[in-house]
Amino acid sequence: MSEANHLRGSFETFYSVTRPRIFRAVALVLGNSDVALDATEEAMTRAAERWGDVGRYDNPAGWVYRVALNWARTHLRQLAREGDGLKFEPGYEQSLPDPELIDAVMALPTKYRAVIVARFFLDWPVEETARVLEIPEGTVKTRTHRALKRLRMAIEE
Amino acid sequence: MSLEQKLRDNLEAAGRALIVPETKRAPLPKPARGWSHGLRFALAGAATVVVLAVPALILLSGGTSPDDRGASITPSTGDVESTGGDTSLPPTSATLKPDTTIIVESQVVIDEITFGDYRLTLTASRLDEEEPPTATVSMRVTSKDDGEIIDEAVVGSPAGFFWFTLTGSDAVCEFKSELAPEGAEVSVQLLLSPSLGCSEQYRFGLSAGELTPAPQSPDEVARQFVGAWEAGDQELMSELAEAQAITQVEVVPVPVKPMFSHCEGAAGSSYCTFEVSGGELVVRVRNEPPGLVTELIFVPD
Repeated sequence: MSEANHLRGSFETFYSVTRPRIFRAVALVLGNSDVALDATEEAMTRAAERWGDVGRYDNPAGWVYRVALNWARTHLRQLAREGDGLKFEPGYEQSLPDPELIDAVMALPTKYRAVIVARFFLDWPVEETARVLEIPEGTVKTRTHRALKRLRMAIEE
Repeated sequence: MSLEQKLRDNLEAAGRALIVPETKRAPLPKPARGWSHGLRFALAGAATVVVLAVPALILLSGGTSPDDRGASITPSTGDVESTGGDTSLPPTSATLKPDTTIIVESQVVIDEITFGDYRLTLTASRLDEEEPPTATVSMRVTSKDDGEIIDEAVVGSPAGFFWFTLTGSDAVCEFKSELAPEGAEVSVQLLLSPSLGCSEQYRFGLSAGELTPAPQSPDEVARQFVGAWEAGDQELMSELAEAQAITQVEVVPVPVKPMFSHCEGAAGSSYCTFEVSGGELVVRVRNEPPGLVTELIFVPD
C-alpha cells in the first residue's frame, strides 16, 4: 500500500469513528445542530485535505474540534439565522438525569461551554483541553471553575 | 454525586439523544491545490503577496500546527490556498524555504498597546466570501513576558468591518486602556469607512488578563442585547444576560426592527422599552455592575 493510500484509509477510519462524537460536542457548544453539522463537515474536509499532517497529531479529534469551533465562530452570525437549535431524538427529555443542568450549561457563554464540553463530554484533561483550544492551562482551570460555579448557582435556585 | 459527575452524565445523555445527521458531502482528500481553490483565492493571494513586503504586519505560522486558518502558500510555486476561519494562532515567525509550505494568514495586526503585564493586539481577519471583503476584528491579550495567549474577544460584530478600510491608513480611531476599579477598561473605536467615520466605542473590562464586555449604562446593555438577539449572536447575548433571561428568549418573539424608546429606573433595575413589530419589548437590566439583562417582557399591541 502506498503512503497516500495508507493515509487515506486512516482518515476514513478516523472519520467514521470520530465524526459522531465531535459533531455532538460541537453541537453542545454551539447549541445548534445545523451550524454544528456545517462546522464539523468543514473541519473534517480540512482534516482530509491535510491528513498527512493532521493524522500524525497526538489528538486529531482535538484539531477537528478546534477548527470546527473556530469556523463556526467566524460564520455564526449568518448561520445562526439558518439554524434551529439542537435537534434531539423524540422523548429525549426522559433520558436526561437533570434537564435543568443541561439548560444551565446551554446558558453559559460559548467560551465556557467549549471548555466544559472538552473536559466533561470529551473527557480531555486540563492540559489537553488547553492544548486543543490554545489557551493557557490556567485559563482552562479558571473557566472550568467559573462555569461550575454558575451551574451550581443555577441548579440551586 | 458531585457536580462534575452529574455534568458528565447529563452531557453524555444529551449528546446521545442528539440526532446525528447523515454526512452532507464526502470528506475525502482532494488535490492539494485544485482549480477552484486556486481561482477563488487568486485575489487573496495577490493581497497576501503585497503584505508580505511588510513582515511586521503579517502573522506567519508553521504549517504543522494543530490548527487551521489563513492561507497556505508554497513559495516555490506561489500557489495560495486559503483555509479561512481561525483567528487565534499565536503570531510566530517563519522563513520562506524552497518546497516548504507555510501558513500565510489573511490577517493583519492593525494596532497594539500594552497595559501592565499584558499586550493587547487588534487583528483583522479577512472573510473572502463577501464582496466587498469584510473583516472580523479580534482583540487578543497575551503575556508580555512569554507571549502566552490569555484571552481573546471579538470587537463589534463578526464581519462588522470592511477589510480594505481596516488595512488602510488611520483605521484605528481609538485604542486605549485605563485603570478601572477592577483591572483596566479598554476602549476601541475603528474606522467604518472614510465617509461613515468611526464606529461606536467598544469597551471591555480587563481583569487578570481576561476580557469581558463592559457596557457603560443599562440602556447600552439593553441596546447591545437586543442588537445581538436580532443578529442571532448568541455568545454576546449570553455575556450580556443572566441565564434566566436567556431562557425567556425561547418564548419571546425575536425583535424585528427594534426601535429604542426609553429607559426607566426602579428598585435597582432599569426597564428599557423598544418598539418592535407587533408590540413593545421591555428589557430589564440590573443597575449594579455588571449590569446584566435579567428579564424580557413582550407586551403585544
